[in-house]
Amino acid sequence: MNRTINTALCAILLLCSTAFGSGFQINEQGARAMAMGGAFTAAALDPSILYFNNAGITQMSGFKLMLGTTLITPSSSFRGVSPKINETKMESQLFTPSHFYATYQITDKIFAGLGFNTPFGLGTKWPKEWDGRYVSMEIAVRTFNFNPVVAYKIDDNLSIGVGLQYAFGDVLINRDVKIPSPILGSTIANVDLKGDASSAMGFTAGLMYQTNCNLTFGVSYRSEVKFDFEGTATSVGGSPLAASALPGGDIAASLTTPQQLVVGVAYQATSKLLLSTDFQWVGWSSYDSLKVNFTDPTKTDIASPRMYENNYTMRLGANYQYDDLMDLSAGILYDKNPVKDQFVDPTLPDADRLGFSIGAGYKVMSNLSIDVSYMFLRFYQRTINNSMVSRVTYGFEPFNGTYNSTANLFSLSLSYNL
Amino acid sequence: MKKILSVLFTFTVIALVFVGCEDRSDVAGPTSGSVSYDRFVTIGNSITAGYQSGSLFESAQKYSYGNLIAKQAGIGKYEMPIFSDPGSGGRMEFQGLDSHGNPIIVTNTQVGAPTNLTYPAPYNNLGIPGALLYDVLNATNSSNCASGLAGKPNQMFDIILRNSSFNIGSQFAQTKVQQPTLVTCWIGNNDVLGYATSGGFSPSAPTGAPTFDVLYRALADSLKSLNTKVVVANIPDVTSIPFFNTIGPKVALGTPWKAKGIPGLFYQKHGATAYDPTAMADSASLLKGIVDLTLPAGSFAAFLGDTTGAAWTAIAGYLKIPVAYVKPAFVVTAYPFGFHPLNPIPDVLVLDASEIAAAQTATLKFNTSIDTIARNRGFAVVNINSFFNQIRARDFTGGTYYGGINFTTGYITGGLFSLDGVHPTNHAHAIIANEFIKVINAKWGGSIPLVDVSTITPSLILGKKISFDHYGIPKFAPGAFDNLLF
Repeated sequence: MNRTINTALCAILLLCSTAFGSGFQINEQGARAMAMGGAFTAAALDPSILYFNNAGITQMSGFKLMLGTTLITPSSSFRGVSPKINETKMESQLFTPSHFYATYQITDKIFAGLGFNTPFGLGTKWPKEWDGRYVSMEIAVRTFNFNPVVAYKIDDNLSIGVGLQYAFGDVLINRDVKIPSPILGSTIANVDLKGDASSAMGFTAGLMYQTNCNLTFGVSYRSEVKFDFEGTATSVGGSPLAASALPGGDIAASLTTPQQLVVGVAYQATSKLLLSTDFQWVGWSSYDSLKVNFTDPTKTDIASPRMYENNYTMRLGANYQYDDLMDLSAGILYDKNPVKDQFVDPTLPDADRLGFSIGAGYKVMSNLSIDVSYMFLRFYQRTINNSMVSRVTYGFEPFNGTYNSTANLFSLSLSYNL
Repeated sequence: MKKILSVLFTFTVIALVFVGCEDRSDVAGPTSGSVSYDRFVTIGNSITAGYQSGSLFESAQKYSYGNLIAKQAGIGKYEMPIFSDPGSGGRMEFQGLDSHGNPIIVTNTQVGAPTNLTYPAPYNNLGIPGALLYDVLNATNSSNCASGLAGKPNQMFDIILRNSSFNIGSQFAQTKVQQPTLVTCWIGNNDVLGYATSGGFSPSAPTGAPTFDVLYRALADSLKSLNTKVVVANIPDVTSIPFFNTIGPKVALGTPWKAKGIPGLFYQKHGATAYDPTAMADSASLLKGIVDLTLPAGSFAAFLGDTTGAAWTAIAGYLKIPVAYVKPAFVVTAYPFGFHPLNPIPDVLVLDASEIAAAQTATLKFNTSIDTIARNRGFAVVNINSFFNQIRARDFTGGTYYGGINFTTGYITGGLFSLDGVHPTNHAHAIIANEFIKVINAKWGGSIPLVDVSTITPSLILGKKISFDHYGIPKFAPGAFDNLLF
């Protein structure tokens, strides 16, 4: 039943996602929040506060709905394998992680809400027969997260919130495998691992404190969520002689998305101008290895070390109420990536990055507003010369080279007051 | 509405600015550093020539390490003395596996022809199969090369040096006229290998260490006089190659020692003219390589225990000499061949402990000379010996990976040695080329990329069927090793 619902939802929403916080986190969960560089933990400006700080839904009076999506077009290139500098461009893909929020004021003090997000996701695809074909051809990880929350307004200054994460997801890993023979020549097969996971659980908690001097503080926590993927591996091509050496059959893999803690401060500088800043800490060190276990004991399990480190992101945003109908936003962010040099690979060509964003909101009708925003992410060029990632299936040859990435993000959200 | 349009316009402009902004810096590509590969010459013996499976032929020459280095460095011109397939004669080919999973080896009776004889300049690849250290400075034709002086003319010198039309001279002289920007010289293997592969029979000793030192010094001084970049390679321990390590273990495992009360394999020590019951290798010695049987001995393993004298006829036939020249006078053929001290396996098929030691000592001394002499003159040195020993050591811990392929020094299945058990395969040439490239890069600050070993075509040449014996040892056709040069 769960799986049917999951599948139906995926089909209806056509959700895809990719990595646009570092690691494979996606922080773009609302057009206005994205416009402000994601500095939203203490800025309860629209129902997406449910994602950024669930205590903040106490600022959402009545019954509010918000629905939107973000269009992400990443582009990455790899130059290598060192000392060669042949350039390979990642295949262009469009990702559309979407968001939905409903908030409802039950009493003066009690608020409830439901969010739907894709907080983690990853998608990279490289051309056929490229130099890194034995490292990765394609990877796609999608997670979907239902987030029912309740928040309580303790007094006029302090609110707290708590929520449940009910998540599901799917994963696809595709790469070529070379089964070598010094005598008969090598045979190459394409291996496809697919799996999905349901009923992963976690929680969220938030706190928001409004001082009497135009300052608001926010603290938001999201727990780890452990996904147990189950699926199958299929191998296509390759010599029949090598069939027994190729991955196949049922697989199981687990993936734990990290916990995170965000602290934010917002300052109402003038009646029209709100300044906001966030410091986000993500516990990526939980992600030490990507393991795929085969049910068939004769197949060799796959374990790729990841050894991520905890990371942080600093965000700064501004929102300006231009007039009664329109508001303008802008933001910048600096994101320190969690991947050590040795473990950077083309499944996720991560790097530290700067983001610049702008956006505007417009009240189309008295109860309907529309927000649009744009963000540009520039990844620092990253040259790896001590890679622990092997270019080849058997044995080890370092996959060294230079990665360059950028991404363009467009976001659109509709907000409706019932 | 105007407001919205102006906001949208601003958006678009900013977005376009960012989209157009591709911030990236240049990445340095491969460089050769302070060495130029433009005029690149390789001096050497059969290995440098690209000789494999008992023959010099085009499809193997293409993979000679010199040619692979030239390709990695991106130079178009690296001329070789190409022989069309199946090459210079006697190419050994793999027919398949018998019912026991053992290889079936045949000899191709066809002969190819030199196709690049008219190239109007000396070749870049001056590797000559059979060349000894002495030859590099001194040999100009088939009769004045070291083996020619010993009464065995080596036509390869005529075909590769072409002095009848050029009259330029030796390998060194032909190197010099090319005014090379980079020279590699890998020579000296045959100064010990010929001794070892003939079971210490002919020649009866490696080149003497003092002689080697003098010759190498003269060669190094000549190379130094070219005033160019020089790379030399040393000599691997020849006793670790499959030519010596394949048959002994098979005989050890295939002989019913205990069941038949056989204490071990009796062999003739070098020059022995009398019955010697101490010249015996038990199964452990054969298995561990304390006493080695050569690859050609495999052809006669089926005669072990024979009491008709047929073994001696066959061996003499193989050596193309009268039986009396190979069979010691004390032999009584009525005793089981190889299993009795009065009918031992002849010296020519056996490398015993003292011969192994002689070969290893010679290799050690040669390498000391090479290292000292080369370093004194500022040459780069490729330590092939140490490199090969490392590969050999890893045989016992699962082999060595190159380009994702697992290699060992085992015969055929190991992937490093061609069917003659001595010469490197295409893959091994790529691995050797990489060792040279690493040394050259390190010495002169270059970053020429290594050969991607996984892209190299395997060497195995498929041929027609032959038989095999009850030991599961490939039966080499008569004359299979006739043309073998090193």
